[in-house]
Amino acid sequence: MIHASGVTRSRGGRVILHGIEIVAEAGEVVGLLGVNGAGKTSLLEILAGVHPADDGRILLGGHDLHQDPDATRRQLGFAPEHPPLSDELTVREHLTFVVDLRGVDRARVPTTLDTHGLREVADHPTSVLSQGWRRRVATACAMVHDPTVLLLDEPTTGLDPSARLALRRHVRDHADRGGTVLWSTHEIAEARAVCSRVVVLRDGRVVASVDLEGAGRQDVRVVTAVQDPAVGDALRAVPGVDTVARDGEGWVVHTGQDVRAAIARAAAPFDLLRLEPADALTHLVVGSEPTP
Amino acid sequence: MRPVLALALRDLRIRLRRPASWGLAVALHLVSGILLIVLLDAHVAGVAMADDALGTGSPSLHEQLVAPWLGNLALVLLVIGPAITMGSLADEVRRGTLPLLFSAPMSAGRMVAGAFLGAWTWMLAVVGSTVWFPCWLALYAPVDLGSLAAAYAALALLSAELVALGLAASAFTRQPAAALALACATAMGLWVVGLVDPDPTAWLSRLGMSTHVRDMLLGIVRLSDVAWWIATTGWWLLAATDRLDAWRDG
Repeated sequence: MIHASGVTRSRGGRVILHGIEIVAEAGEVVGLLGVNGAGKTSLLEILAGVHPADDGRILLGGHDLHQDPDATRRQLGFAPEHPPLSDELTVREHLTFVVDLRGVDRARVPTTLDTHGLREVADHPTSVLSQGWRRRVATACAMVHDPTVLLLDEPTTGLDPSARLALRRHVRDHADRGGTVLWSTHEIAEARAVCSRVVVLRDGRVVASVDLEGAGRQDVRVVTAVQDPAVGDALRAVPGVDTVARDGEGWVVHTGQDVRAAIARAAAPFDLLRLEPADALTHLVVGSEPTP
Repeated sequence: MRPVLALALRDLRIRLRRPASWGLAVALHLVSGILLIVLLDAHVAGVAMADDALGTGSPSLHEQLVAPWLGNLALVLLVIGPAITMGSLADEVRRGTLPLLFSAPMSAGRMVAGAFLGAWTWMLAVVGSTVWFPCWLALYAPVDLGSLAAAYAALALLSAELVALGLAASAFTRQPAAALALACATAMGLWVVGLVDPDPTAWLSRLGMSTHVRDMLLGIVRLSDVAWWIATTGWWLLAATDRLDAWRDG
């Protein structure tokens, strides 16, 4: 599991992560969703122990990253955004290096080559591999030691559709065996395809934690004649509403239930003008844009 | 220990597959071969003159030929050592492999130790392979094997310090060319410092690499010299470790 609380990080005098709170339990694939520059990579690097947080507490697999860094790092596998590969080494040598680095049985190397479909390129230097293959090798390196916590930063970049499906299957299998996966992406469709829940990050802040079971199908946009923050408060008070966010002259309501009638009732005192279908997740990720 | 060895092995594998590594090895052999021919020529002429003047046999081959040759080789190593390590840590940044290492259960000290072992092993192999020159000499004249072993031990210790210095420079600059310039300048400075004062016990002489390599090249091994090499190598490794920790914190 991943329990991060109050994670803050500054760089160059600018706060890039503001008190991040994330919880992901064993068996979950949680998406870290946000546009470029939202802070996903910075957060993953902190969770992976690559850089320290200025403040906050991080528990991975039951270990405190700050107090017991080596035991915590033993629990995790991390695939950074850019595949961390040396051009001179073969795929097999990379996997062997990782298991040696982490003190794991080398017998896992041939198994991983088979599982990730890398057998045919096992003895090829990574310099001759395409971006998609290099990405697959990087993901295999992150998973070769069967980590409890798996952190994947944009893992499908450069992958063809079949490789994407295979990766999703590996990750789901990993979660089914009790692993916890945090999957960073800026693609909402991808998050919907693989994650059970997403944490939406914007400008270094968690703006929502959204359960994706049925997500998007019941989202609505509410437009009222009265432009007042009280409208948002009224909508948030409706049972079954997960998040409410300002969107130009209206409000986008994210809900997994059909509570349109209740929403209409809550908005009625503010002169409800329109109640229309919407995709709250897109709105949460991109942020509020002025309505033309 | 296994993670350190894994890093060292990876470092060695990468070096073995890089043309630049072999280029440096070939360059060292070429230079040492030319040096040996020049010194041998002078030595043969000197022996002939001594025989004519004194009617005695030639002086110690080690003192007259092998030690000066290895002394010149040591000077070449002042450039080769930093060249071997100039990209060690900077390359981790360039390849993007640093997050992989930083997310592994190992300290910065172990990372530096692994990089050091890999680079030092390669340098030992390159320097050690020049031993065929004195072996070839031994076919024609008596070579003092004890003195030869002490002289090569001196080069091994010098190599260790140069590799450690190169790693520290690589950690401080992140730019391979800048690391090479910084490490070469520091190594040459430390070499020259030992030549300033002829008294080897003067404090300035004690700082110099040349002071601690001179007698070992002649076959005289002092514990104080060995301790100096180990201590200074350790110091550079600590500096590299400290810098790598700063990378992690940055």
